Amino acid sequence: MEDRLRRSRLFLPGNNPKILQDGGVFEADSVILDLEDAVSINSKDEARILVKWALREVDFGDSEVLIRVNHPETPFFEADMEIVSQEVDGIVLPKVESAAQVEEVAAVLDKVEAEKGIEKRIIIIATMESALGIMNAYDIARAPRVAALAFGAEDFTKDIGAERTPEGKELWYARSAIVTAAKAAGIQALDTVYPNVHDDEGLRAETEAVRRMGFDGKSAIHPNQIGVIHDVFTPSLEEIRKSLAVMEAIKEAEEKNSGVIALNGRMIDRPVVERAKRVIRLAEAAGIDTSALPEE
Amino acid sequence: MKIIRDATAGSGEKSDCSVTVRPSDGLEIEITGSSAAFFRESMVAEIKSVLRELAVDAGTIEVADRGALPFCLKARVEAAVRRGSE
Repeated sequence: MEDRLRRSRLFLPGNNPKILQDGGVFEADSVILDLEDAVSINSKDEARILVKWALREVDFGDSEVLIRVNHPETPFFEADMEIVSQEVDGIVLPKVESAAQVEEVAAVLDKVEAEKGIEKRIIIIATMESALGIMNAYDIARAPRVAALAFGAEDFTKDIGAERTPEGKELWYARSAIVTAAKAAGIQALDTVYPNVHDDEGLRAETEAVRRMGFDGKSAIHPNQIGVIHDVFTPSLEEIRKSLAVMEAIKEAEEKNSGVIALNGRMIDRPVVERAKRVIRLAEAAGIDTSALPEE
Repeated sequence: MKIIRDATAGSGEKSDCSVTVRPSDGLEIEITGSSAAFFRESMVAEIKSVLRELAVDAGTIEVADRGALPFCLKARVEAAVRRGSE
């Protein structure tokens, strides 16, 4: 299972050098160098070349580097895949509707990695942005290289003929389907962007709602959104304490060579352990020293 | 690669540059913009490295710079050359 933290994924328009060159300073967990929706048809070629050079020369810091390519059925896809290099950690695939589509892209990556001697396994993040994609979400989640399902709400809303509302009730079925499919396949679920970059409270409320649903992260279209997203995905002190207690109980059980792990008289099963590990990782990613928590 | 027609890539936005290539018998590089006075030499070297990579030995390359970093300058030169030689 691919368990790299992906609390925030920041979109960087592929034909904008000013934004690309600063991509590493915002401390997003992932940056997405976007060749698709952020680039007009007439600029596809120069954006692709700009992203190729940015991959060679721009320092993206600790962020995971992803490229959003154009859809495999467009004339741009093949050339987009040609710029995949050692610097690329993953491909964000738009409008995925079947496992077969992912398998084709995975086969292209097999070839690219072998030809270029790339010494890592490039992941795929499959974007769900149509009714058909949602209906096939579980098959897509189990397809080769898929590390996460991501939600694209704008296109999905159009596809089902819904009206996008501030409260977003029209999106909850799709979100539930994505989280359930992703978790059943043992991968991550990443939520859509919050389009209003000036509304921090709205962003916070929506990010809290999707975190409670089980999403592992949310996309950002502006660097200013990253702080709020990371804040929401930072566990509370109480959660951290509980998780540390779970980890301590595991340690004790291991020391006693006991097959059963118990905490306060209750048995701890695997999902609880996994959750505790994740909480501690999230806390550490937020810069919290879990060995020196403040007094209760 | 041979430049056979005029072509442009990039923009006049900040941190970008606009590169125009034109067919020519010899190689000529013209750079304008605020960085040109300070970084002309390194910019010429960067442009030439891209031209070498693309096996271009003739053409007029005009760069209107708005503070582009080397990665951007090289990308815009490559894009303009490819557009002018397809």
